[in-house]
Amino acid sequence: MFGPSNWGSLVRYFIIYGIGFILGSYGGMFSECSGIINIALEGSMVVGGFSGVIFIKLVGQSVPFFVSSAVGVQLLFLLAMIFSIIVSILFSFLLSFVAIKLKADQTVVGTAMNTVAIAVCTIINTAVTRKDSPEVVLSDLNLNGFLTPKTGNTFVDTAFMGMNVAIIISLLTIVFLWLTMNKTRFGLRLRACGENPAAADSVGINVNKMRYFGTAIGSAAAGLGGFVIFSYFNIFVGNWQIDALGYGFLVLAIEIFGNWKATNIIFASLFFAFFSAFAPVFTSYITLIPNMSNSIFTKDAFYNMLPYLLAFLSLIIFSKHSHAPKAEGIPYDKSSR
Amino acid sequence: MNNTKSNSVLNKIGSALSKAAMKIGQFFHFLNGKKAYGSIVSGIICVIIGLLAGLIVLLCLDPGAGFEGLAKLITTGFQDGTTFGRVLYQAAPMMLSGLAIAFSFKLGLFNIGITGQVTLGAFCSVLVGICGANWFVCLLVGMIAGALAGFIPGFLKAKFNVNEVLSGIMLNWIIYYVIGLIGSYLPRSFKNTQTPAELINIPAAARLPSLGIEQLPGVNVGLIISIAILIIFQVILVKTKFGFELKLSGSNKFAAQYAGMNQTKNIILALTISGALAGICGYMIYANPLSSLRFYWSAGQKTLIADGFTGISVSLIAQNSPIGCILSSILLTLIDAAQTPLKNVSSAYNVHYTELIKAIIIYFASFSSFFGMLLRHLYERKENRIHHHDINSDDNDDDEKMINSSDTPLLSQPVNAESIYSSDSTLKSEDSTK
Repeated sequence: MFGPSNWGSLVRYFIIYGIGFILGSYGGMFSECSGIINIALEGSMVVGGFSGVIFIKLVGQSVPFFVSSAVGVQLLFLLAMIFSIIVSILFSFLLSFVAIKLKADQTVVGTAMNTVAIAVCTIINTAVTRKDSPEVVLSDLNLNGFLTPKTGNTFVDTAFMGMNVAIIISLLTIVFLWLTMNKTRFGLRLRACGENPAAADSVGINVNKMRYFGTAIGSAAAGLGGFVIFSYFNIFVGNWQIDALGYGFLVLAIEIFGNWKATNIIFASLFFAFFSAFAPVFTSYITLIPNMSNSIFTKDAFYNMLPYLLAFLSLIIFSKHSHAPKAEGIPYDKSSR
Repeated sequence: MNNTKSNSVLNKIGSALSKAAMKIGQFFHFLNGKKAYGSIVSGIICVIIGLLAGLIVLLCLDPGAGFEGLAKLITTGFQDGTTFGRVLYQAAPMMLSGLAIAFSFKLGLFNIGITGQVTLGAFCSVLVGICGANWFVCLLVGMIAGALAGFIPGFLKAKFNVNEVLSGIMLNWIIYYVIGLIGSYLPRSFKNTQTPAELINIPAAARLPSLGIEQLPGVNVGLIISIAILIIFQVILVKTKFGFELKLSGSNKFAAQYAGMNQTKNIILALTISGALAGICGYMIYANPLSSLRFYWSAGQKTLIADGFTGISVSLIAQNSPIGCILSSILLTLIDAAQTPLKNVSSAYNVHYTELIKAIIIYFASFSSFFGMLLRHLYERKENRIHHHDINSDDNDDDEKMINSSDTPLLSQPVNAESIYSSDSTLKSEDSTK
């Protein structure tokens, strides 16, 4: 039977993927609403996730306080989170500077940045660990002190196993980003820069500055999302290849699915998070059943494919009705006003 | 004393440098007249920057071995016939994938779904090869499979306005998992006995025939086919109506539409052809006479075939020129060849450094048109200065005075006009009083 522990782990994966996807697609939203196409979200997630995880590994190894006590572990996650956000913001300048000042093709630069992100992270990892394999291993740290409830109820215990402070702060960040986009003057101005930069400029908004901000906030959000996914699964699943497994591209599809609107994106993310969570939980459940038929519904490849297939279909259905920011991808030129 | 001396030395160095810069500028100006040379120059600049950045990284990790590492990086590919042969036969599929990207770029489309197209082409052709087809049939099957995978994003882009980048990425993963699904239903005899998620090697009859050059083992018909295809595409792009339509649609969609060009057809055709090229590339990767590469789809590992993405790098460095793709793919395989030798130079290095150097080259190549622009600007500014300088030295002081004197009446003219106007108005006022 699909027991309470299965449901629990489904909810657990759902929470992690949901937070990661919402943050990632908000990252895309912030940068595209300011007028810059960010294909480098994948890179941001890789850089954010990797820098946080390697921070945990290095600091955890050298300072025993951060590993032994519950407070220490949470503090370590908090610091790692801040570190990964800073690194992702720095990473975003690779895109925004080239896109704004040098007026390069943003899609191409973004793709090149994804390559750079993976190469740099692999190099740093292999230089730190002195091994050739591009994997980050956290299991040898023996971290304990997560916010795991011990109620005795199997469902609750598995669902909220190993929560850390970064996940809770991420939830608050999502609320904060939603408010910023929908309820503040800054959000409105950001959207103006993506829709009609000439008009925004004529009322005294510095378009290029707003675009730097938009890309930086976007990259920071995606980096945080990457950190939540990477750090969580690195501890509970084990080794993690330096690769965002295409989640960085999936969130771009989610963003189009959500029509560049903060509220719609949340629902779209949760939809995809459910199917992404469903694949590992259901396949691990199905392999335990003896004498299963050899049908397509028993293959893990099918369930792994589902989120991508659904994203693909939703792209086809929703692309016709989607309203992308009008000035997206076009470098702002003051003289063309 | 000491200060002035060092200053004069600095001045000398400075003037020598500026002279050298001027010479280089003149050289570039000569090249700028020809478009192809300009893109070659910016490509070369990217490569040099990438190598220098790589050198810095190597020096940081092991100061003693940095230069040796760089030397290994450049020279390994040429060290003997076997290595150079490998460089050549690995470059053959790479230049095709580069062309696939470059070709769709001419229409302003970014065919990032190339990975899926390469994967599908490879899978289908290897399967057909195992079934007993000869090499030409395999190549055709790979081509058709790739074309099919390229047709889907093209059709969706043309009919449903689906962003080809996103649909391509999604298709990459869908194709990856579909192959995993098909793979799990394949009979045992197709698969490797040790690792079930792997096809057996493509049989010798289905491989590309070797050219039989003893000094360069492994170099096969594929290299000739690739180069022929690249030259044909260069001709298509430059000389034919279809090529012109593609380029015009890429640079100005509305102008092309106004001129009555069929956008829908062009988009679908460009991506399908791009996919077909990628499919051939996929076959060639697995079909060279010396390769022991097996096609695998391990679902647990979740890694796409990287060869599609290298096509993007090839085309970026080549500035989307088909002929440039030949050179840039050889360059990238030369760097690849240095993977293990670089690791042997120092214990601080590992096989991933060549990836880093390639990534840096690609990053700079992604905005390399900027370098060409910068050089042109620099040279034009310098030329203007030289021009001014010439005028000043040739002309006498008298001429300058002449210019000044000719200026003064011009300046005084508006004043005159105003006075005339005012006198008119006074006349009018006088009239009115009458």
